[in-house]
Amino acid sequence: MRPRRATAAAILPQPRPQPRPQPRPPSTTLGSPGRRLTAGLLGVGMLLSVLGARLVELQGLDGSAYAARAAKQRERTVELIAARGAILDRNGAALAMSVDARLVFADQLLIRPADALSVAAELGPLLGLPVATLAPKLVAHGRKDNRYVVLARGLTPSAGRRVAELKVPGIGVAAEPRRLYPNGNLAGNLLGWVGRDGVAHAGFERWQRALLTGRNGELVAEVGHNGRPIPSGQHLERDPVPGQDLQLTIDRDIQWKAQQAIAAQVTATGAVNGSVIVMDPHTGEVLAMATAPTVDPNDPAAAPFDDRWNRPLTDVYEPGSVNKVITAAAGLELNAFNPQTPFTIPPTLRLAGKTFHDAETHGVERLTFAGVLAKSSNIGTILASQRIGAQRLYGFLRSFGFGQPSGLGLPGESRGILPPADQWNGTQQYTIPFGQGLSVTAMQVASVYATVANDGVRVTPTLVRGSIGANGELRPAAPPSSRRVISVRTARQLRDMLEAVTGVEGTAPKARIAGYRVAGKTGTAQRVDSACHCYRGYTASFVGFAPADRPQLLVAVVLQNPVRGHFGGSVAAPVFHDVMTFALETREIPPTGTRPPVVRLTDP
Amino acid sequence: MSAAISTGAAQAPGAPDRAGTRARPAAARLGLRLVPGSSSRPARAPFVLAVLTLLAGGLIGLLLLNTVLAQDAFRLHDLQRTTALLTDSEQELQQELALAQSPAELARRATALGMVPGGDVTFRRLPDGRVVGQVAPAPLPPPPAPVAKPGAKPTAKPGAKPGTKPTAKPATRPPTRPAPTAKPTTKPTAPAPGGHR
Repeated sequence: MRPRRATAAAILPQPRPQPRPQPRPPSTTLGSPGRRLTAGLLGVGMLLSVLGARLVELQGLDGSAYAARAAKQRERTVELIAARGAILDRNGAALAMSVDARLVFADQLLIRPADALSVAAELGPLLGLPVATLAPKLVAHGRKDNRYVVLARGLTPSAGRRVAELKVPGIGVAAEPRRLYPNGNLAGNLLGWVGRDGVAHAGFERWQRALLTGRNGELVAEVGHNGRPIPSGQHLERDPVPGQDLQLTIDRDIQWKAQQAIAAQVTATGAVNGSVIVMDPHTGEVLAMATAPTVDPNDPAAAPFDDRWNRPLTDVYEPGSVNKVITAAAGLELNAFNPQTPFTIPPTLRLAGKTFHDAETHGVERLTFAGVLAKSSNIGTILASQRIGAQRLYGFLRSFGFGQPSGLGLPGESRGILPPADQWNGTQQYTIPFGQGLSVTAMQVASVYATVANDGVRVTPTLVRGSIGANGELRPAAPPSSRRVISVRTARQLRDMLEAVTGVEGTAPKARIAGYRVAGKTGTAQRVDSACHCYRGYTASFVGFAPADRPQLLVAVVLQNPVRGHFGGSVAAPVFHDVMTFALETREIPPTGTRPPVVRLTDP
Repeated sequence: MSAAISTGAAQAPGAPDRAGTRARPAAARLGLRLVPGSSSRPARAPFVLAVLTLLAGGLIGLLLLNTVLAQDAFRLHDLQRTTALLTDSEQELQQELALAQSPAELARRATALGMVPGGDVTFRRLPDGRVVGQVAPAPLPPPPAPVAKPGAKPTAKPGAKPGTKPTAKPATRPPTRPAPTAKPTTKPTAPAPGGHR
């Protein structure tokens, strides 16, 4: 410190004596080159250090932020939409597919009211809309201009291009993916639908959304002012992963026939609704699951709320006489009776303060148990069930699948209503054997008869064949589980008895198919009206399989509250006949060519 | 001016000629002549020219490269557009096909052609040639809406001849299997009923 101050003192005073010997005017001090140099240096130094500091600030401190901003100006990120997987039928025909589509919108601000008519006239033929509906959408009526009025949706890309090529100011075309169901309302109850936002709302679309929806990719590119990518610029692409295709066990043609037949019968009989299930009893594969009225997934909003459900799984009803097959199975399996066991049927039967009677009034009849089933006698079934007991019958109802989900896995499925035997009230122990006082779904009933058709082994029903990934190969779904419910002997006895139902003396001669042996059971149940919580109207049903001696196909038909005819044999059996005939033909199942056994129905 | 220089200075044509003109009288006086300088400066002009050429070449090369790249970018853009157009039309055709082959549409077209759904299927057993089922013409549907097609062939009476087209089944698959007709087939290929799956 000190020496430095000393030198400073030695240096600084030096120039001071100089001006003294030469007293000059003050202006001459400017001429001092040393001071001028020092001042200049200082000035320039200060300026440079300011610039330097700014440079450090820009490059060093904020540098990355500016670089990012610059990159943002030229970088474009495009989301690459992953294609949603298709839903296919068992033969690979598309039931649901994703396609590119265009929507056309109008910006009212850019269309002069005077031009509205001419613009509408130009657009009309391309959009397939009349000028009269189009023109009012192009101008604001008193209110503020709407800058986004959708004129048409679901146009093909080429149609969209034709609209864009018109170059009408105020008319825009935008891309919008569309979920197309090419078969209209075919299997609409099963498929569900996808909203415009890509969110699946029902059915398979929702249940299997994890499988069907892919993962979106993205493309990051540097583009010039015209939007074209800069050739040497950065280019980053992450490919989208498309969704997998889902293959169902549904056969499109059989589904169509089932849907058409049930829709026609619902209309013809004035029923509230109806359902049909077609399945292969050996594999548990459901070939068709139809309901009417149903929903067109292309426009689900057009269908009333009540028609958007998959009724065979969601709607429960009292099965009626079709339930008698479980009573019969229990009795045969427990050796409580055999098909030839005679029963004396009184005209009416009074039990637990209630009088039971049969559908048709009759005198005292002598029937075999086979006759009880073929003629669907309620009284005979009650008498037979007394040899089984409530607790054991309940066990059979459970093991046939009542009171629990069918195992299809679809969300929203009902398990039906089956109280445990110890909670049955006074009348339920008499009514449940013939199918009143418990509620089931159509799928549960179909599964019972499939078990009988499959020699007593219940195969869990399934609707999914597998998924198809990017390699195009089918990855089969896990094989359905199966479990024996009744013995082969019991199942065969039941089949013989059920074949008598379609015989001359049975309740459903209309279910017969020429050349084939058909077994089945009618059901005519009193229907619970949820409005009054009382019995009002009927549920008519028929469940059957063919060929009876070597069952290949099962068809279950249910009609709710038909008003023009209400017997299962007259209302539901014709639908069974039509659908079964078509399905046998489609599946190429020949008749067995054997003769039906002679089953004695009456006891002499 | 370079012609005046006969000495080694001629090797440097760009050298200042002042030295040559001044040297001449002196050399003549003293009987001296110029000898090639050992440390003659390298000529500058070729070098500059070379550099300029290189520079220009580089610039032009760069320009060409960029042009080619840009041209490729344009080409890529055009090709991508073509691809998009072709993809669009492929998709549209697939869409049309899917709509056309839907069972409801096929049934509608078959009805329009005067076809009717077949009745019960009739079979012929191979071992004994017995006909299983009843041979009957397909039931006539309610009178179909007349399809006015000028020049169209008169529509055959639907179901009039059993065996010609007994099952107007609106299936999508071509009838590869032997049609289950009532007509006795000359060379039956199907195995005996019961053994057939």
